[in-house]
Amino acid sequence: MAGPAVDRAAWSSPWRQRSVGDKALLCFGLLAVAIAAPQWPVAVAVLLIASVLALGPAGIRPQLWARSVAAPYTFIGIGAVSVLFAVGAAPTDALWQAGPVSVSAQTVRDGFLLLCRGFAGTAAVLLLATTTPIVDLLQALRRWRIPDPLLEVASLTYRLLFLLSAMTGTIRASQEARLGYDGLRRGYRSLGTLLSSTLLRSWDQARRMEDGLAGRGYEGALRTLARPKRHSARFVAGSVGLLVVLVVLAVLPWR
Amino acid sequence: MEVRGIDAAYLDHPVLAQVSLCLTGRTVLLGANGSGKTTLLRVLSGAHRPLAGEVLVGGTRLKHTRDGLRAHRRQVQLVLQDPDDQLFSADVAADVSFGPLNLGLPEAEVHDRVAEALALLQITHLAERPTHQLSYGERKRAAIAGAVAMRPQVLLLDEPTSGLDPQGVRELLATLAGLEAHGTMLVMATHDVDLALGWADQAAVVSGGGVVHGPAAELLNDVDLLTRARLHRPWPLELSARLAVRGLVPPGLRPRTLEEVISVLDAGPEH
Repeated sequence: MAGPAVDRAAWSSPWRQRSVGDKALLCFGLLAVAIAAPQWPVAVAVLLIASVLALGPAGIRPQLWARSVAAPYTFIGIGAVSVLFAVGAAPTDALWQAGPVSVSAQTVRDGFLLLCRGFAGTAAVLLLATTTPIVDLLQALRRWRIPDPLLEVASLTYRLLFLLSAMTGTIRASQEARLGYDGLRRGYRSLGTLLSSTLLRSWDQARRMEDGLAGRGYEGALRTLARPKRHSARFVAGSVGLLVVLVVLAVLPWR
Repeated sequence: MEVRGIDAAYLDHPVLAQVSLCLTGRTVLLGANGSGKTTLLRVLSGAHRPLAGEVLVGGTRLKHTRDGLRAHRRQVQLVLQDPDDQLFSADVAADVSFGPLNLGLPEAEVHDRVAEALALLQITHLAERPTHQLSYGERKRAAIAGAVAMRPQVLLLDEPTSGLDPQGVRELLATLAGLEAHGTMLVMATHDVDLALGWADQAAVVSGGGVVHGPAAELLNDVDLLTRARLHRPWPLELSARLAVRGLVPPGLRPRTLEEVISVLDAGPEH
């Protein structure tokens, strides 16, 4: 099973070899600037920087990047549209009004700023997500003293999600081949069977995996070798420099 | 490796009754679906506690205590039929490192064992690949690598060739030969009687709760036994038997491979 676009991008990115800490500094720094900057040009700058880094040195293919951002950007877009409309007494700068619902210059500014910040923040987080497979993230969290049981549950859930996703796809295809989704009522019944089947199989798969792990000496800890990542002082310096410039731009008076 | 007087049940159904056998060399376990091959493998590996009987490796009895199982697993490893029952980690090298780390080995040695296991299974190029992006055959190899990295004396394999294409089967058998050259004893459960005849020295046919054990070529020529076990005679033996009836080859020959069949035919009825 190929997996979601974000996962595929993360495993194939050349930035996978970079230290998670270095990347987190850059990406969370961009995120903080994006959501805190009062002016939209700074948020747009963050969006452009994150996108250029992703498509450039991070080596994310444009199609994968587009698929990764599609869902969150759509969600943010819908949210931004809803901010356009105010309900209540008509404001003085109303651009459009229908009864108690109005669109004003202020709501347009608010919606646009929300859009810019949302897109920029999402791009910053996705820059980290598309260059850092979950296994690397969990290893970093282990070094940062997050409790092992939490990380092991996350690791196993990640692995099982792919297995169950493949299994669900197969069951669904089998149902479709036997006209299981031919009509609404039949479709709901098949969907119910699919979900209950997946639940039972997930229990069974977990039990079988537990057996398999026991045979390999599992005694309560899922320890594996951590692959060392490349820490780069130049990357950190460049990230800090970039963030300082963005912060200065953010605090400058723009009018 | 030896088992003595094993009684075993699966989900409260009796599966094996008073099974005793001594495993040496390349051994194949044959039997119908549900005959108890996998249960027997799991008993051998320590994963399944029998109702009675004992398992011995090098004369040492397996004890189902934490220390006993730990010691046993250093010597005996089981590769399950479905690789997804064993691959838990996101990437191949991390998964293979799991077993050696559980042995308490220092990290430097674990690195070496991982590299060695990946090289033996010819999947070094897959070390950093996520397990969910591997093909079925690649996942099989990764699962075997995870067991091999523990350097067991005995490697038990449950239907290792199922789901593989013919080239994949040939490559896997070549890999297993490489493991043998490193001193690992191999026990394989399979339905494939042709594979069993060509590969194994010894065979154990599981049927009716019992096990009949002996040289592979002899057992796989026993039509009554094979029929009771819902198996059939391997084609080289079947062909040889039919040709002997027609007087085209001498009776009693037991060719194991295509090449041996050709040799028999070339030699003719006089042999």
